[in-house]
Amino acid sequence: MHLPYFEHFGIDADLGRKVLSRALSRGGDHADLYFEHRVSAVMVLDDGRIQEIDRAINLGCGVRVLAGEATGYAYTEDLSSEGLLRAAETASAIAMGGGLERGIELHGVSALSLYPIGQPTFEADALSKLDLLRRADAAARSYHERVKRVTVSLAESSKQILIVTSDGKFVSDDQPMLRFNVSVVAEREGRRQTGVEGGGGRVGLEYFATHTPEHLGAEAARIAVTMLDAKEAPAGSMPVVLGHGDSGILLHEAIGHGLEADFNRKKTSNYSDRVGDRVASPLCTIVDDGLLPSSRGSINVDDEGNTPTRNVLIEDGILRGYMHDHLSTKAFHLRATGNGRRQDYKHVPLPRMTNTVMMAGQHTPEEIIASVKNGIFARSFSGGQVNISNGDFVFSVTEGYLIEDGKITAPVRDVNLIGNGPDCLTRVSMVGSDFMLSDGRWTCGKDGQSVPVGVGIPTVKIDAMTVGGSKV
Amino acid sequence: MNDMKNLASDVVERAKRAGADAVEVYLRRGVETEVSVRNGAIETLQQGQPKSVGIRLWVGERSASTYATDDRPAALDGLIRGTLDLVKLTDPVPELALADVARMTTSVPDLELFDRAVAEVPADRKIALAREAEEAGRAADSRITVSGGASYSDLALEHVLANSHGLCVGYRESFASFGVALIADDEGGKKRNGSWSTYGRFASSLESPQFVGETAAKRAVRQLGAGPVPTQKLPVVFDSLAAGSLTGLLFSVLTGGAVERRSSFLADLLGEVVVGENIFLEDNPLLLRGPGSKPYDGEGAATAPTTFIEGGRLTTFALNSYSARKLGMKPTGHASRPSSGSPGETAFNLSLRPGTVSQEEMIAATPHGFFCEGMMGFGFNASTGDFSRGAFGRMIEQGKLGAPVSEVTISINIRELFSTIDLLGSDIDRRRSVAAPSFRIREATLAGRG
Repeated sequence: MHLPYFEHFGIDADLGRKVLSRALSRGGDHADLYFEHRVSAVMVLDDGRIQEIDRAINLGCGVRVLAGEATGYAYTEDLSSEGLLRAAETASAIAMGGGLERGIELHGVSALSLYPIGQPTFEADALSKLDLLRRADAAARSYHERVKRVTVSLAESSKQILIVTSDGKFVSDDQPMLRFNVSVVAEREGRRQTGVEGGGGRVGLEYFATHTPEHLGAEAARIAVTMLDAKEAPAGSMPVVLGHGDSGILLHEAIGHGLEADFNRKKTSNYSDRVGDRVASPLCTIVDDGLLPSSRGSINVDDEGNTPTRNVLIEDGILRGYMHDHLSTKAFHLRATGNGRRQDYKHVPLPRMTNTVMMAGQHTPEEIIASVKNGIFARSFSGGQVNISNGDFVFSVTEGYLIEDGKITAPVRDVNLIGNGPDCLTRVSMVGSDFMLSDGRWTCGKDGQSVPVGVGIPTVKIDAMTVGGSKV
Repeated sequence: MNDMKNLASDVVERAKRAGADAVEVYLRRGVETEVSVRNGAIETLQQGQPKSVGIRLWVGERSASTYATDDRPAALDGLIRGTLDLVKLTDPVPELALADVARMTTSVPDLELFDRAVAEVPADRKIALAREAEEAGRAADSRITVSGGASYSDLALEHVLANSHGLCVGYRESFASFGVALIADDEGGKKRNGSWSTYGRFASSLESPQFVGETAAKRAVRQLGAGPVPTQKLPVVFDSLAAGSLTGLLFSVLTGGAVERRSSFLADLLGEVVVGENIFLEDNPLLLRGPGSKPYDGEGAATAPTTFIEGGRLTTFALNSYSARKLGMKPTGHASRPSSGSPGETAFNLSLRPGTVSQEEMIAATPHGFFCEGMMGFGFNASTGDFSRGAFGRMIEQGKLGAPVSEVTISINIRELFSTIDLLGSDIDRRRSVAAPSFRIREATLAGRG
């Protein structure tokens, strides 16, 4: 077996087999190795100067042994044969039954190829990347005299992984990531506002041909300047129209986390034992799709060596299934969905989302806005959170507007939206035809592990949702 | 520790020989373990030995930094060369220079941050503590139906910081914790979760498994039957944990970084009365066994107790060398040192000075109000102070805790919030790195039904 990348670190198939058989030497049903070499860099332009360039190199391996539902896990930065065998020894302690070192046959698994890169960022001339920062900075500054401070960053990473499993999988992937961000502070008469815009994905510098730094800079400035005029937001239950793209955070919080199979295996989710039930309006078809080309949440192979899928979670409002990792697949006697993901070699894989999206509907966004007499239009968000057990979820609107008599009017101050998963999704009454995938900017946190994800949604109307403004 | 100090000094020397004018090296090595159980059965046994090296290099007034998990000498030379290449790409930023040499700490006080006993707890004992907490929780209330699992984790870390001012210092610290998550099933088909964890630097300072389990159970069942209430403005009593999270937000807007970037609403208000006269926001980095205590800050400067807000007046920002130079002020020794990149600012053991009222008295003194036990989400705008987050807790009627409440939001500007605290509790728990007593505010908007 040929391992072009990791051979450089002395990792070959023989070593993989040797470590796996040591991992299973005290028994256990399954073992896997996750090798990771991640090189990342961030460049920051702040207050007109290229202030910082930080580079990071992470190299290590995680060894996992499964015995029934129990996991033994150890990681090491020492990739020598001795270091790996020591980690395998530690992980093997989970299996008390005793066993024999067994022979393991490896067969190559070919990963998908979802992110062909035009111009890999690491191969590009550093000066050309710094130029992107300067262009965004100039565009933001020239947008308006009230723009007082601009910070631009470009973060790039290249993550090489190799997964070797005791059931013979042997697969590697090269996962690129680009994240560009512009943050702008605008001031007027002592009042301040911040506007943030950015994106990226598993892309190279060709990203900037369609998402110019000028556009991203001006957009951040526009948000900051617009929000200087924001009014007190209303409080209470009212219709909410979610703009296309980033509003997919609704799906991530309202339903995504609750459908991660570990919570359902443990029966701690409010969606436990509810496959086949109606949990959303018939207008809602929601999919976790790991296969979207170049998207931030896409993966050619998951972190357990399984191939990602287009996993239909909700079809016409009916709950169809969960997102699985290896452990939950065994517990539910199902096929892997390719959702086993981890932050890095220091962590065990968990069922995680990839790109969580809602399919397009029939209405134009204009029709949807026009149907609301008094409500809120939400366009940009800073983040969200869910309580898996009771289904309550929140997300914070950073750019929102009043809808009055069917028209978008004044911007409103930062406001939190709160709902309850199944209840909120049954109130979806109009779904737009304008599906959009969010520009790659979201990171999901769970059990202390962060992974990049995508979200996407068309314009959607929710008949009643609690808007956490201050004006009663 | 001596190995690490030798390595750090060696890196400083190698970097200087390679052409750096100034160097800073931060080494970190540790051992972490975690065990978890669910329904009495072992779910995971995890172990790792994290290590990392962070290097910042300067040539003139330009700088760049590198982080790596491989700290072998052969790899370090490559890192130094690579970092020097990056330095050439940056602009001169004089404010980013190393902290002034006169500020380098001359001693490393022993703050009792390391407990040898933490590393000596046998795996069987950790499993037993997690199991006992889970059992105690399940036994505490018959309405508990599901266990989300219990876990025990610990961490021992050694830090060494060296730089070309001749600084080379280090210290050890330990942490241990265990906790459990429990679920109660509601009549309405909703699940209610409650969890509790105990944390400490010393194994002997942890709460008992009985207490941890019972507290988690209490927190799950108290939410049974909760739902939204009508939208209204009313007085709110914040439980000490929620009060702590608000106190952390107040600190975040007086960090030099936020002020210097002008992203804080406090940017121009130094020296002014910015919140109520009963507010004293204090930080003590030198608290013995304190969860956030540090013998020196992230730039190697001595740390000292600081009062940021005194009687409502903003007396100082929390400044590192960079933000202090940008603002033309003196640094306050609040530099943080992330594993990678440049220093930020942090508080160490932040506290809101307590008052004299018990939480019971506070509730008894409230004819109609909301008792906020916890909050959800990230709705806070540092530029304006606008705060809007999900909340859960209970109504207060005629001075008594009433119906449980969930799926509501609390909205108020944070400056107004800290200006309208009319009762300040005595129940501060200094085992938390951000500690605040319960308090009551005159009025906030609760958005719910209608």
